[in-house]
Amino acid sequence: MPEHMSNNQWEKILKSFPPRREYLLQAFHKLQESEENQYISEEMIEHIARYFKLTKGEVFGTLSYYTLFSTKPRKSIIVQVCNSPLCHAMDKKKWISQLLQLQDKEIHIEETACLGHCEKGPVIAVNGQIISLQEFTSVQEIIKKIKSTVHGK
Amino acid sequence: MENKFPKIVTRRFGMIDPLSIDDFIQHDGFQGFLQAIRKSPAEIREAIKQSGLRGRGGAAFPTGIKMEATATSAPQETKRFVVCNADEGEPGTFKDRYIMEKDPYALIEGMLIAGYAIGSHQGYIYIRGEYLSSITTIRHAINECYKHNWLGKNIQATGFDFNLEVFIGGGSYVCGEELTLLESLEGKRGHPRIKPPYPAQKGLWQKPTLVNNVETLVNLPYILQYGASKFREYGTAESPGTKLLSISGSVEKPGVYEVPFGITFKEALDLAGSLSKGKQIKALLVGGAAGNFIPPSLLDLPITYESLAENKLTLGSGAIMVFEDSVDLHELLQNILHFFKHESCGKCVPCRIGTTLLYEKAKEPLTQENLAWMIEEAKYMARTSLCPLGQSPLIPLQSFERFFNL
Repeated sequence: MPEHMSNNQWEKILKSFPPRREYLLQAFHKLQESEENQYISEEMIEHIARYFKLTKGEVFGTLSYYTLFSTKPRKSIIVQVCNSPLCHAMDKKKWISQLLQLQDKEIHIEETACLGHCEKGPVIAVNGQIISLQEFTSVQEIIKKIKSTVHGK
Repeated sequence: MENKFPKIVTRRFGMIDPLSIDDFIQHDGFQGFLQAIRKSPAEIREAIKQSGLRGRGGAAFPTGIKMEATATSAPQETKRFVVCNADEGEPGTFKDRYIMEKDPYALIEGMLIAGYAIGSHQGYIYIRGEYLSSITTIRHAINECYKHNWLGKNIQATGFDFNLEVFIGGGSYVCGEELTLLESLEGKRGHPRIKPPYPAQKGLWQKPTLVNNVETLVNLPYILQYGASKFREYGTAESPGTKLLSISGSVEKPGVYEVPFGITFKEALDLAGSLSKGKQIKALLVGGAAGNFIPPSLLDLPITYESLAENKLTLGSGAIMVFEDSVDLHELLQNILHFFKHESCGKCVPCRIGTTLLYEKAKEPLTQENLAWMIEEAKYMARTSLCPLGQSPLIPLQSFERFFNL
């Protein structure tokens, strides 16, 4: 994947949706996925606004409301740490607070509400893929698993 | 303990390859729809009313009445929509994910029946953006249905047309509320609407819209295939049928369990195995963050809408989180109030400011005085907020005060 997609590629993605407002979130998902840094840039917002015949403010207002979208560049691995009451209570080894403080040049860490995989809690999502933290013995081991999930073994 | 209870919603779980439409059809798939299509839409609505099915997402509103209202709120030729609420964000709830990933075609069948019953030809499944594998599975099932003429024009030569599309949410708890979900489906910020009008009158693009939870819709094929009276053999008179419970926490086998209404919490927990040796249950959190803390002394309470209502409790989505004695309930309360603060959409001032005040207060020592203050604040929020989010913090707080008094 190229580091910065050309405007042409954005247009191509946009054109796969009918130009009606209900497809706005769906377009955000696709555009964000295809961007190396997993975010929606201001330049993209201009394209989106033009395509859906909305103001930039309307696009930004909608975009910034939802937690799964970012308006700032992120690192390539996005780790969502579930902090639901269940994961919190099951987190005997205090992985959640340790992970939330983690600094890593590849990993973007964020806290999230219930991921809905409570039967395996505590859990994290690595670029959307669920990993249970039940069996781990160290944070290093968790980081290794996060990276191998994205890069392969 | 093995789950020997009769199964309605989970009857195909583990029996079929969830991706295979042939497998689904060989296991009685689409039989409910084929029964339905021989009757008039009014007869279907009557059968669903007879069944006594109530919404399984949390509010427990009678499904047949909702359908009737949606079908009759505007002239017949008015465009109508069926929307499946698969924005399963209530903490501790994961049953709809199980349904979508283990029997996706059953959900499509449920939507076909709902569409036919209210005179709609267009459905949407709004799935939370975090459920990647549910999205993939449902999309695959929809494609297969189009390929095999179980969706699209003149389905199986019945003359009925129905189109179905998946929409992916953006990560927002409040979008699980039906009117907010419709705003989001229209591509807007997830802000609740003033009601009335309800979706049955003015829903998606101001058209009559039936919004139902995944589990509710998956009950429909069974009711149409076997009849309302067969359905009523399970559960109680006021709570007919079964309920999926999402059991998690300090039990041996956390997971989704389908049980008939009327069994006790203790019987339900036995299915998920006992606690580890030497541990005891400190509390259950039933129904999610917007749910009640329930003490071990109430484990013999039957799980029905009526018995819970008598005890001023609710079942909500059917989430049961089990906390053992080592869990700090004050921390848990902070966690829940932080969640509401984070998820408040900010439209109603009492909710926006109130959720922050509650969280700040929860960080202080949990004295009787502080708890009473929080409950007063939460009551005020409940009276002055548009949607269930602002009304919810009162539920865990009140049950906390009631059962775990300091």
